[in-house]
Amino acid sequence: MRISGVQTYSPKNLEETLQILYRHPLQFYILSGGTDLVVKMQDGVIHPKHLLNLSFVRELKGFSSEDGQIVLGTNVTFGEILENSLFRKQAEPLYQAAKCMGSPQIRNLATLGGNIINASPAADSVPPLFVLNAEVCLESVNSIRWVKIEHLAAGPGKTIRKPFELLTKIRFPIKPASWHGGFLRLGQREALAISKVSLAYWGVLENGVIQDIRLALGAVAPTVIQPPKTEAFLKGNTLTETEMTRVAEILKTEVHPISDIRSNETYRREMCGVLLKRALRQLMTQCT
Amino acid sequence: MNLNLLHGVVGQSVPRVDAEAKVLGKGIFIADLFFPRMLYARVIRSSEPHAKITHIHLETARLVPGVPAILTAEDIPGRNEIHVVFNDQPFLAPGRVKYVGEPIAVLAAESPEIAEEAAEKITIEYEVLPPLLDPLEARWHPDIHLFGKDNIYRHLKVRKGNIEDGFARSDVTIENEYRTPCQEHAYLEPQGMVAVPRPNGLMDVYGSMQCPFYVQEGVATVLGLPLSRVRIIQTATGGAFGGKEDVPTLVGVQAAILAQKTGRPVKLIYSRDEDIISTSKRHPGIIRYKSGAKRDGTLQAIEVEYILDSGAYATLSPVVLWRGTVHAGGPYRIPHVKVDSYAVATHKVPAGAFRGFGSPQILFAAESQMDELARALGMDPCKIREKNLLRLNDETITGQKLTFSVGNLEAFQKTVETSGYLKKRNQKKETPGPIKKGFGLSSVYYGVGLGAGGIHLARAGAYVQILADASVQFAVGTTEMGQGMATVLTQIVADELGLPFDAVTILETDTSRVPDAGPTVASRATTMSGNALKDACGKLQESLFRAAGDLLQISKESIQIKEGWAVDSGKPGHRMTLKEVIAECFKRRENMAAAGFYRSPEVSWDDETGRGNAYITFAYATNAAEVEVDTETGVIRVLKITAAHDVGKAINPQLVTGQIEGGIVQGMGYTLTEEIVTKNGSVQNPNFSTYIIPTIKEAPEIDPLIVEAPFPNGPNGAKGFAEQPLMGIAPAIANAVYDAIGIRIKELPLTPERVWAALREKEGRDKRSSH
Ligand SMILES: Cc1cc2nc3c(=O)[nH]c(=O)nc-3n(C[C@H](O)[C@H](O)[C@H](O)COP(=O)(O)OP(=O)(O)OC[C@H]3O[C@@H](n4cnc5c(N)ncnc54)[C@H](O)[C@@H]3O)c2cc1C
Repeated sequence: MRISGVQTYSPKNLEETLQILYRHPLQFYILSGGTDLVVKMQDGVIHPKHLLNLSFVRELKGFSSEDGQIVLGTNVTFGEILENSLFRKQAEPLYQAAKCMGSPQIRNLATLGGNIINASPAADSVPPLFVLNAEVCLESVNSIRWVKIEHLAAGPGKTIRKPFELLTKIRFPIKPASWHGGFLRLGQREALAISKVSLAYWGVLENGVIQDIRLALGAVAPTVIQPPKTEAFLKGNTLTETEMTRVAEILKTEVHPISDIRSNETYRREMCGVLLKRALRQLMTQCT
Repeated sequence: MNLNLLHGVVGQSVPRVDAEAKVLGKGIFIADLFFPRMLYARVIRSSEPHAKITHIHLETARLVPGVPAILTAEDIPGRNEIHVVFNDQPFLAPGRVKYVGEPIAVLAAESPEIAEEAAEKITIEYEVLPPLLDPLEARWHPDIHLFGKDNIYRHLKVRKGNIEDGFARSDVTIENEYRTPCQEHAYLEPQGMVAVPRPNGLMDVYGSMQCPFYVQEGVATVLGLPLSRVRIIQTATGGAFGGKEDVPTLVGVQAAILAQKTGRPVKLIYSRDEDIISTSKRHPGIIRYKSGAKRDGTLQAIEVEYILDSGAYATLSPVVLWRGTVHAGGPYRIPHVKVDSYAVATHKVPAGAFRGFGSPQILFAAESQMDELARALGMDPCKIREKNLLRLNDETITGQKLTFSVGNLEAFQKTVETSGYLKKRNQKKETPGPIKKGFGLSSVYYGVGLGAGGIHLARAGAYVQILADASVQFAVGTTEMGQGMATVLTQIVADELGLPFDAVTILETDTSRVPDAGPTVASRATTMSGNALKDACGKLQESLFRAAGDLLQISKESIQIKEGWAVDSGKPGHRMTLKEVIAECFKRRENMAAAGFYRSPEVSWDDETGRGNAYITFAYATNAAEVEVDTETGVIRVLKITAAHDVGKAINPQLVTGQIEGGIVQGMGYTLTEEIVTKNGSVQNPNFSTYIIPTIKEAPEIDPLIVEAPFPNGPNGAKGFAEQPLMGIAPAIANAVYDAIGIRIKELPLTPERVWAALREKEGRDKRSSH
């Protein structure tokens, strides 16, 4: 498929962007880094006539850390996340996810917002945002709402965003330094691969006992999921090998993977258990 | 005549002649080529693996403005036939389709967008027929006939000694079935051609290709033109690996027939998915392999059945099968041999040439068997190989006596020693934790050139011209596709004429410049074109030596030429520049241009007995792989590969090293991740997000080693080199995986899913047996 006859609008500020979107919500496709959108255009999956290019909207860039929380503009790229020690120190799961995402070229273009709205069950930034307790801001000319990340996706490629709404910001609370986390994934290769299974964790361990923990998994259900039974089992637990084997079994009952061109159901389910055990061992070392 | 040539640049790692253009993005690839009034082509393809075409609706497409031509099988002026080995393949499907992606119609339009729009408006009605998708089902199928009565393109045999005796004398026998996947070439540049009609019914075709003379034949046949009116010019070619051997003929004709019809230039560039769906791939293989050896490890017998899933048309399968068959035993002495091999027709995209040409599949089996024998005998895999490796004056399985240039043992020893294989294996400790390390070997040999399977093509022409300013132009009929031929041949010409490397320029490959040189395949360009160039240069040397002798007032036998000088060999201070010598030649009105030709030595093959001197010579290699297996996830990481290759003579060591590195990584993809998946004959992963080739992150540490056992008939002793590095990678890794986890996986690729399932199965077995 060739891309032709597409008109691109590049507003200079948020106000103008929201206006265009409000007036023509269905005509416009929103373009951030384009690493999902342009691929779909090229494949002939979508045929936009008008693109709303966010590249020049200053309000959507950059990030800040204040009042106990980190706020990111939707157009922060994975490359920028990697370049900043703030994320390495205070958002380890997100930092690690950014590290294994795509390739340098992709990371320089791909934005956090695009990854979120694309709503792939395998989106690598989303499990970290789940465990970090993130919220996203959906704005329009006359409305603004903060939605918990776990309420945003409605299925593969679907979100509850209304057509005239723009994702503008992502925020999550800063936890005390005793919290640690990470992101583990299996892909078909080391780089430029879509996750077959991914797991983010964020927790705090004291004297070998889990005080609190959050987990999220990618590519094992129609959306990224959080495993409540597994989390409940882990809280207050000590991480002996037997307990870890038990909790891995619980996790396997909470995921709903499929077989596709990248992997099969059994393998994906079993790997959830393996990644969980690895995550917990990693957490133990991080917390000592 | 005493040709006292001194080595100048041969043997040196001079930079590639095309390096600068490529690094700076200045190379002109086919997509970069534009002509005034050029049209853009599209190919309309079958969506069914097997069907009768009941109707082709062109009416709506014809209404699209700016579409001057839509052609189907009925509009072909010449013969509807693409000749490769047989003539079974039509250019456009005549009423019946046999694979998903088979061309049915072609059209040309004013822009790529219009071409696409018109293509979408063409609908095809089919009467769908049952397809044969499994080669074991297709072979000898009673009712559905794709080819002949048995759906077998070719059945080959090798018979040596007496197989019953061989196994009777064996203390151990090992029998296994192996399977190998369909591999995509994944060249950087997709297929593409531009056809330009010229006055007087001439047709020029530019494109990305390995074999311009094949394209010439195809264009002439289908367009109904004499060969003399068809000229093929190769543009910079971004990788090929065999995928641009026969396929570009089809692409070239697709563009040319539209150019002929419209009288305008026509460009056709395949998209990546169109390329993956419709062009040749590596044959999936099924290999049933029985091996027998004596207690001391001496090989006694092999019995092999080799089946290649060849797809809907024969294309190159008969010769791919032949190479595979001849290589069935690996580089070992085996007294008793029985091989039966079959290229089987199925309703899938035709498989074709791919680096190794039918040998990687069978060598995966052969080299896995060597390790299995070693294990059964309690020997180190290293020892059983060393014991059986072919040495000087040994015989191959087809009865060819190896009387020269056998660097087999040397390559083996170099790899084993340099890699520290024995030490590492012996010091290996049982590590706690899920990661297990393993070491594996593979030894392979490779018949250089086309061999008896393609003897009718085993010749090459060349053309060399010295110009008045002492610079040189030369042309050959073989092609540069990234492998480095242009550089290596420039080195050879520079040394032959005693001129500096920079004074020599290779011209683009063009069928009108030199006689048919055959295909650029089978690692043959250096030896064939190299020898043809030497022939041409020899003629020019006569004039040079004569003039230099006269000017220096010495006999021409005493002259040496090197890097721009003619020197008196008896008195090195007594010399003059070749510039002056060449000026003198021009003054004398000498012919300073020469055509060269080379015919490769005779080879032989008997189809009935499967015996003969199959190849002009063999190249040898041993690989050592070091891997890590994660026993919880099944993920294999290749840490290091050491590979020693006997190349006869490394005319440019850096290019040899580059081939080793590239071949290893491509072989690693074949081993670990690459597999074209089809569903009802339709490719399910036609892009690089689902067809997984390695990236630099997977690339292991590589230690490339060069061995030089000179080939007396090769230019400067060189044998061909390009395919060998890939050929033994799969078994080396599989053997290392066995060493790590004690599991023999007989089906490629070794995906984490497959390894993990095998690990769990073994766990189950171990548990049951411990109860
Ligand atoms: C080669 C390659 C490798 C990749 N590897 C990975 C990987 O490892 N992990 C991974 O998770 N993903 C990967 N991806 C997918 C992709 O890069 C990511 O999903 C990326 O984050 C998308 O961001 P973008 O800015 O490019 O989004 P775009 O393509 O610009 O947009 C994506 C979608 O979001 C919408 N959108 C964008 N911004 C907004 C907004 N502010 N408000 C509302 N809607 C919006 C767009 O309309 C579109 O539907 C890969 C893609 C490629 C091509």
